[in-house]
Amino acid sequence: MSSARALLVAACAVVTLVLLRFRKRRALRDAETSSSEISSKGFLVCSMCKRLQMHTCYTAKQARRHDHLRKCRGCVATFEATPEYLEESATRRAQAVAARTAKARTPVVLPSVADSVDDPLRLARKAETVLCGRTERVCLVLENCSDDLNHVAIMRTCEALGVQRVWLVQAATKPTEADDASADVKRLACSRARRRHEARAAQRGLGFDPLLGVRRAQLYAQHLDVQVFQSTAACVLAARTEGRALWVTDLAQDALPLGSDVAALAAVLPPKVAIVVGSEGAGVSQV
Amino acid sequence: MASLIAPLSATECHRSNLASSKAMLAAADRRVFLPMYGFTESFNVSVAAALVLQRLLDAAHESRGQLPAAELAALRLQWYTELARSDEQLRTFLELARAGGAAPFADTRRPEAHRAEQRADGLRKASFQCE
Repeated sequence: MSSARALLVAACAVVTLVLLRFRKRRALRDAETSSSEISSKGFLVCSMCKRLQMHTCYTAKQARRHDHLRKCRGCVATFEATPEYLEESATRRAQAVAARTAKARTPVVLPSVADSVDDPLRLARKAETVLCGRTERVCLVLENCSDDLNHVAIMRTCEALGVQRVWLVQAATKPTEADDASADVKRLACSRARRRHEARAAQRGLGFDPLLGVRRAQLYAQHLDVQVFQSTAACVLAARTEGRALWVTDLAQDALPLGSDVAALAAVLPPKVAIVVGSEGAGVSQV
Repeated sequence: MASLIAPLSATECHRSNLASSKAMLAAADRRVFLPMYGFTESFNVSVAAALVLQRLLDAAHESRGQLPAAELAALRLQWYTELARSDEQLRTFLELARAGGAAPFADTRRPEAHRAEQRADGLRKASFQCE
C-alpha cells in the first residue's frame, strides 16, 4: 500500500516539473517576441537612453540594427559631432574601401605566379595560362586575303592575342578553261602575288594552301579554331546562327570610330562579335 | 583544326567572291574604323587586324578564359598531350587535366634561363653554319 502511495507522489512531482519547464520556456519566448511586436507597431528601443520611441526617432540604418546596438537620433548626435568619432569613422571607411578593392583586384592566389625552370609542371601550367587567355567573344573574319605574308602575320597576331575563333572566307581559286569566269576573277585568281607565293613555296619544298599560306601560317593555325567558308554568304549565315554581331572595318563616314575610350566601346560591344577585316575589294590590303 | 566545308563549284565560288565585299558590308550590323591622323588613309591589313583586335579585346577583357566547358576540356587534353615530354609526364598531365587543369602563370613569359638558352642556341647555330 505504501509503495503505491510513493509511486503516486513521484508521478505528481514529474508532472509538476514538466509543467513548470513548459511555462518557463513560454515565458522566455514571449520576452523574445515582445521587441519585434513593438517594432511592428512602429516603436523601437534605444540602447543608449533605454527609451521606447517612435521609429521616426531613428535613421533607417539604425532602425535595422539589433536591439542592443540601436541608437536614437538624439543619442547619435551626442557622439557623432566629436572629432575623435569623425576621425575613427573616416579611417574605418577607408579600411573598408581598401579591403573591398583588394578583394576585387586580387587574382586567384597561385603557388608561384611566374614561369620557372625547376617547376616540373611548367609545360602544363603554360598551356593552362594560354587557355586562360583565350576568348571567343571576339572572332576575326578574314576575307580574301591573298597575300601570304599578311596571312601569316594575322594568324600569329590572333594566336598571340588569344582570339580563338578565326574564320576564313575562301578566295577565288584558279579558274579552269571550262569556267566562263569573268576577266576580273581570272586576274584575281592568277594574280602575280599568288603565282609568286606558289612558286616560292614550291622552290622551298613547302606545301602551299591558298587559305593558310605556307607551313608557317598552318603552324599558328593549329592552336586556333579556324573555320573555312566557301562564300561570304555562308560566313554571314554562320555568324547569324551563332548570334554574333557582324562588325566590318570600313572608312565610311558614319562608321563607329574605335577610339581610346575603352569604357565607351565596352558599352556598345555585343556579347559576341565577328570583326571583318580586309573587306575592301578582293584581297586588297586596306581597311 | 579547320572544319572544311565541301567545296562549291568553281563558278559559284567566283561569283560569290566578286560580290564578297559588298555582301559583307550589306550584312554588317555595324561599320567601324580605326582613327588615323596622317595623310595615309589606310593601314596594311595585318596591322589593321592587330589594332582592331587590340581595341576590342581591351573592351572585352573579362571574357578571357570563358570558352565553353567542353571545348576547354578538349583543348586542355590536346595541348597537355602535345606538350608532355615523357610517358611519366604525360600521365601526370593527363591526371591534372582530369582534375581541371594546372595552376596558370600570371603571364606567358618564359624564365630568364630559357631566354638565355634561346639566345645562345641562335649563336651556336650561326657559328656552326660558319664553320
